[in-house]
Amino acid sequence: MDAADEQDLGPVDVADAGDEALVEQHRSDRSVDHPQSFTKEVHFGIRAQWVGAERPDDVELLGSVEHLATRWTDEVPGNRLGLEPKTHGGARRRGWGLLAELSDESEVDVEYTSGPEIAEQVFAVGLGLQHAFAIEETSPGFEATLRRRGGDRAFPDGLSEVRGEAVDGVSLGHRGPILRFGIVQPGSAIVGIGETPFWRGSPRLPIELMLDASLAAIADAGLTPDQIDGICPPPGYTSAEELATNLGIVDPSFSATSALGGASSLAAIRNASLAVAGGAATAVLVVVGWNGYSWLRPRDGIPVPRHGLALTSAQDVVTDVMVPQGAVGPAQFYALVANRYRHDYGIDELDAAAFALTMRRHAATNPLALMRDRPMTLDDYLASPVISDPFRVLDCCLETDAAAAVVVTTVERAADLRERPVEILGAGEGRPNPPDDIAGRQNLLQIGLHGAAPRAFGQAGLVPGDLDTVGIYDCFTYIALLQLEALGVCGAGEAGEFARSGSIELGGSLPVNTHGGLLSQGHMWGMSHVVEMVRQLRGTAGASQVVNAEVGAVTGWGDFGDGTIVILGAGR
Amino acid sequence: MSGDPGASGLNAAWYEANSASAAVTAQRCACGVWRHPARYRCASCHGEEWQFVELSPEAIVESWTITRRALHFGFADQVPYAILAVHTHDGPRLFVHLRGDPSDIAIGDRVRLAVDEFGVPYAASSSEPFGASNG
Repeated sequence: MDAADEQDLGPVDVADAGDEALVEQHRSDRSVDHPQSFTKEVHFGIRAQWVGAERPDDVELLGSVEHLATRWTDEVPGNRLGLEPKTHGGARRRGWGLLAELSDESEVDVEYTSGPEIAEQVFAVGLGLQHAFAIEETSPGFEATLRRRGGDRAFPDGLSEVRGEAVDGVSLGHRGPILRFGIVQPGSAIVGIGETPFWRGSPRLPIELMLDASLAAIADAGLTPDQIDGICPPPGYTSAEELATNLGIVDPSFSATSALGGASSLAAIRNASLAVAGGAATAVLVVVGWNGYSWLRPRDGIPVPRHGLALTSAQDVVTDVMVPQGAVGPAQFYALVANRYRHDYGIDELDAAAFALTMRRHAATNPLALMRDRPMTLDDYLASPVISDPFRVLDCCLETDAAAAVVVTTVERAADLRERPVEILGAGEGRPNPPDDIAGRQNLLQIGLHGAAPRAFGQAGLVPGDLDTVGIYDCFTYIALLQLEALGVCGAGEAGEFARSGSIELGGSLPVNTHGGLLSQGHMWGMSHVVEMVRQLRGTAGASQVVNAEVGAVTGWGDFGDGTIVILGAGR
Repeated sequence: MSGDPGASGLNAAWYEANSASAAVTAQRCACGVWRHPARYRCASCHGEEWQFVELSPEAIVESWTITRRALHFGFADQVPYAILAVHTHDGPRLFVHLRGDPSDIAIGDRVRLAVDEFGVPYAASSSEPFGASNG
């Protein structure tokens, strides 16, 4: 579907759907059984197009895509039943959804009489019940029957049973109102992005880099610093007060820092989203920056910051029980996870290599990538020395000096700003148990993202199959593969094959880290993944642009497997 | 992997308990729940009554890594060495390093735990002799 098709998707007359006879039938029935000014409104929020094949003759009109796009509104308090395409703020949907909402206390049963691999979500909201599901675009179709439980009060006539069917080869474009399942709150959006060059030995302090990135992000949003009233600094290096003072942000009304190691960046974006949605601030700066390369390699001419990473009690476990065992760094801590992953699922070094090589190829498209001009072959990978099994040097990300920032505001305000907004559709954080010690876990492969991802998808009303591109916190290859599974884009143990198949490549079915990631762009706590995702969803990613990218997710990982996620969608 | 672990607080007390009993111990709540590393309160009953209790030295390897490049100068003369996550027979799970040849360590292996004079735990392959064990 091209851009022109996506523009004009307002309400259309029902007759356009070729459904006149059916509508007449309902109207007739209703006039008999609902004399109290029961009226029916028929809305079309979508236009469905048949792509490729002729509409098959054997598809019953009741179950056609046009019918799915119809909503009945009963003006009498009581029954309200609808079928709508499952949509969200302005982004294209793959697949289908069903919304049934009853404004009284009755319950509905949904019976799937056919249909493959339906991803189902149920939300009880208020007195009614919303039931949503989606199927993959490539699925052959489904059939569902919706019935009021007990049957003592009828649906509007003609709707005692509603069936929907989706058929292969249907493409949707939706620009209708936001339909959210679950929590209803004002939407938020990322409206500005900024990042510094990536250094291995920066002549500028982390705070200076963060100010560079902050000013770039605020300017990118079309704002000035005095219009920022919330600040989310990273856990360390600086403070909201230092940032505010240097940027000229007077009397900020909100600040928050989350400490989840590398997962902090996305937790901070979520904090910002909640803050603007809740009215605590109107525009929030989220910034991270560090001297990840230089703090380990002091040398003349490279300034040393007065404050480093803020260490919390989580560090006590490292100091007290890990370091005495010779376990001093992430390449050892997460190697325990990686070896268990290899053992349980047969993931091997060729799987890891496929991920590393993809990141390197993607970095070739990114002017900021440290490894832009350093191509890698499989032989290079296999020849790289082992740091701590199973991690070779080329399984490990690049320690970097850099900073990156985004600006978050409400969807409403975003509409008036300079760039095409990128909506925050869902966000979440999660932690393994216990969160501060790896060896103590019953299941070394249970990570924070396993909890965070379903919660975020639930908030967004989306499923993993909706994603057009993904940013994975690729601190280590195997850890990135494990996160692909926890995210839900492939099953447990399937990420290796997923990577080797080319699916994660630019041009593949789900391009991952189109900027080169931590492994080949550089390590900016995952915030550069967000910056790249915003470019993708604005359509300004240049050489790495994913065609028609409208929904993407970014993951975060840190502090022994804490997980965060932000699901983003192209705004209007 | 040798020398004073330099821990503080409850964990310092844990090393002292290990050293005093010449065996690996773990914190056990009065309600019977094990916890390691040492914690202030029981996450199950929220009680504050506990003691360090000696563990059976038997453990199973849950995962491992062999560090081949020194990541810290303090361990530079030790490489290559294996770090294990082990599940003890009594229940607690902990980090230990392996004394001896790390080359054939595998998940599911049985190891025996012991402690050095500072109370720092280590593992030895169950088929090999090990030092300070009482078990």
